Amino acid sequence: MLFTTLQYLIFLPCVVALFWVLPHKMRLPMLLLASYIFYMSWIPQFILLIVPMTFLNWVWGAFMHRHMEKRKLLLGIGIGLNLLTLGIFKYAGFAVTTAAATVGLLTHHNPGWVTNIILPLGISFFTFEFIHYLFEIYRGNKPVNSFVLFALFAAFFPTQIAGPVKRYPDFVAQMLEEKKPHLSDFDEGVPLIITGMAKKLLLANNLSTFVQMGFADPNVYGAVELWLFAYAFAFQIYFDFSAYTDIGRGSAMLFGYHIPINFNLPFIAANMADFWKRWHISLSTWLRDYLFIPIGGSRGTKWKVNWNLFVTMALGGLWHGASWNFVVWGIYHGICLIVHREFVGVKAKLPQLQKFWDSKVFHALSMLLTFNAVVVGCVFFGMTNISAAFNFVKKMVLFHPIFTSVEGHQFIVLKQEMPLVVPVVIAMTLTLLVINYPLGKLIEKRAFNVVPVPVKAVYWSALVVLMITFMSNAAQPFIYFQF
Amino acid sequence: MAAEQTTTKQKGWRRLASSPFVLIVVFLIGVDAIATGLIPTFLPEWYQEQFPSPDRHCNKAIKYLSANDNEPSVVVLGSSLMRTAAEVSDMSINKELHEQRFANDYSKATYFENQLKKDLGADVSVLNLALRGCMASDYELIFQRAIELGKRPNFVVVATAPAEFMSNDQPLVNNTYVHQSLLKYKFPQGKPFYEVASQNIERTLAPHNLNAVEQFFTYLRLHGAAYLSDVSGHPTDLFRAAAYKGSKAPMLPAAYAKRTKLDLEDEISDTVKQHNPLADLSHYKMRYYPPNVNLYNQHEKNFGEMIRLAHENAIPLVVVNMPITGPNRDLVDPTLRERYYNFLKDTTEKYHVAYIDMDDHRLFSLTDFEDCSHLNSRGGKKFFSALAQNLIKKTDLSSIAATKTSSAL
Repeated sequence: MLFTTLQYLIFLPCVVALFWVLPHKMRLPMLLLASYIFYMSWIPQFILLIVPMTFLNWVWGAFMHRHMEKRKLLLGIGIGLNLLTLGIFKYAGFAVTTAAATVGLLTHHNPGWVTNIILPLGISFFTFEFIHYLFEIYRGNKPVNSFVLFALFAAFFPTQIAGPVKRYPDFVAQMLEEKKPHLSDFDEGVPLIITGMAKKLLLANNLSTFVQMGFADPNVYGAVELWLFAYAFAFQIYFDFSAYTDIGRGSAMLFGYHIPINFNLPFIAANMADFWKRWHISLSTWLRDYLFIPIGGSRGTKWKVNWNLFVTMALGGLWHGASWNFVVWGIYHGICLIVHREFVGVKAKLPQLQKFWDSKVFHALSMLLTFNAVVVGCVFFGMTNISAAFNFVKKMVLFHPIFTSVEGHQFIVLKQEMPLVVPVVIAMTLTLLVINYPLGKLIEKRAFNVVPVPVKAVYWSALVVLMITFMSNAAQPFIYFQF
Repeated sequence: MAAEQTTTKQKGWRRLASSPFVLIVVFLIGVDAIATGLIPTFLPEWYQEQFPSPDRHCNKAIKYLSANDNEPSVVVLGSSLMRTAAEVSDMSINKELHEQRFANDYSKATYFENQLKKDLGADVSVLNLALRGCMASDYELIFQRAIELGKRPNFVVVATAPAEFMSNDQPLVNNTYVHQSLLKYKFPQGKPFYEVASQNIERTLAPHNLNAVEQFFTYLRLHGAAYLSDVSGHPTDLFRAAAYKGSKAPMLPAAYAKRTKLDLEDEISDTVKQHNPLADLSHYKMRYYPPNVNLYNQHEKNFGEMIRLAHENAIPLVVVNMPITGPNRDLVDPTLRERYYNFLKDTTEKYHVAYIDMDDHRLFSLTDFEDCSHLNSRGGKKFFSALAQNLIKKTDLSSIAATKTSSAL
């Protein structure tokens, strides 16, 4: 059941109405049941994996809490079991095809080994939440007493498939409160849902038709076109993923639950470290708390810290998908973070340039550089074929050839089979590029808060009308569902 | 106390008026009321002109089912494959038909009719009920409706192809546009067509009709696209792009704004399509893959039911497998393709119904097609000539026609 389908638009109000009608004690079991129904609407059989996983982690957490003297060992076993499950379902295929490719390289004959394991939806997010839970108990937090509460923390349908990765102390505390319906929750939640849907249906889906054109056969295009495709893809993933988060957060608000934000205007970040504080915040903080810090964090020599950063980002990349391109993407971001870290050291050694470092010009340049570095990284994120991705990036960076010349025409994006979509999407991408910074700044300064409510309501209603008018017939799943 | 209550109440109202959630709901209800209630009520003629009912694609079937006219000698059921073949072959004998070709209620197959007249030496009339996007289950529905309404076709030709059983882009059997349209009608027996059509208008004008909302938004989208095309100088879709490829002519005809996308698709010139008949093959890849066995089973069941019904009511029926290009045929999942052919053969044999397989690569080559599935003028003529001969050879059509002619005399 996709968030952007009619089924969800029927499912959500029904569950919300039932939630507020039922007495407090029955609300959470009902919400858990609804969440499992939501999960089973994809592939029902996977409930047989998720429920036992949830139960085992709950039991293991309680067991760990009672045997704190052996907590290190128990934590290791708990994490190991979770990673083993994730490994079997998510990475077994990857390992087998990589092994086959290696054998192929050595013997000049690829044995063509494949596995046929279907990835259960949201398993990466479930696993991260379970590991977080075990870690927190290891650190001395109390386990959740009720299985329903724990299961709901893991399976809560607005965040079930693609996060944000929640933290249980905060979420469980909210669930224990006896809530009363407040109009303000609906005032905040409904516009968030509409905004998310508009991001997905009007922007991400339309950008994707254009992006697919370029990513399917990048050899045909010149550097300018490839930059356009890469920009469009960067905006596409941002709108796609942040749309999911918006709809999820908005849906949760209708139950009176507040889920932390996952994006904070990432494309106006001034450097890579800043970018990761704004992009997929719940994942980056998870990686920081449960991977970067445990392996050493910022303690130790410069090389050790850089290594920790590198490993964290490479594994973070691998978490996104069982494919080498995600590893390359993670490594690329790791290198960018290390470069930024080194640059901060250089800056500190040049106090005579302090005025420049603090200037608006430097800030604008860093923002521009960061944005473009992120866009280059997106190519690895979007293309599973690594050598094709490297060629794509090579053409972009070397700016050669600037344009391709086919049938005597330059700029062949305009000569493709979607003649109206293409100019519109190019205009959309260019507009997004131009308004990215000023709009981001206005949002950051909460400039739109002064807009009168009726005007905002007209805007959101117009978005609904536009969505119904322009949305495509076929529902496209969210990009992050594959992770 | 009363004053205090009033203040609280006012606060409540004020709170509601400043709630984005409430205002959004109010605005959307307003849009719905205007789009589906006020406009159709106060501007009914304009509304009908701007938002013609989607049922218009079925008009000729509805007209046939609701009329009390004499039964034609041959009723043809089929999809766009048959419809196109009839239209393009008719255009070859009457150039003025060009405009009519694109009217959804064009129910003639003159070239075919002439061939039958010539070969049979008798007066034969053909009613062409082939509808665009018609699926195998739809044939059964139209046929079943005809029987229910007491109609007794003299001879029925059902033209089908694999796509009619397994197109992934079509809804399930109870949700096709033909199904939706036919189910809504009550078909008052003996009442003229305009009365049936008026039901349609009433239904479209019903306030808060979701169908009307959809049409309203389609209207907005198409006009938006037309406007953007004017501004950008680029055609709105790949069909028009193909049609104007290499041409410096203006991208859009002036009448575009009032035409629907489906109408426009029909307007592509034959010459452009002939340029590369396999250009639309990718559409069929999407239609055939992944193979939808569930959908296939449903269509097979309904199609089989139609043959059984014809047998039971002793209505002469012939099943024709339409010609398609080899590359299109090759795209069909081999298992389903095999099932499809065996099904047609076995079921027609079981109920003693004639089966004519016209998908003959010796008879049709790529030059007979305007795209990967629809025949062009040359192919259409070839098809109807061969079909007429086959019908005379393999069915009782000649005796039926002779009886009909003598009874008419």
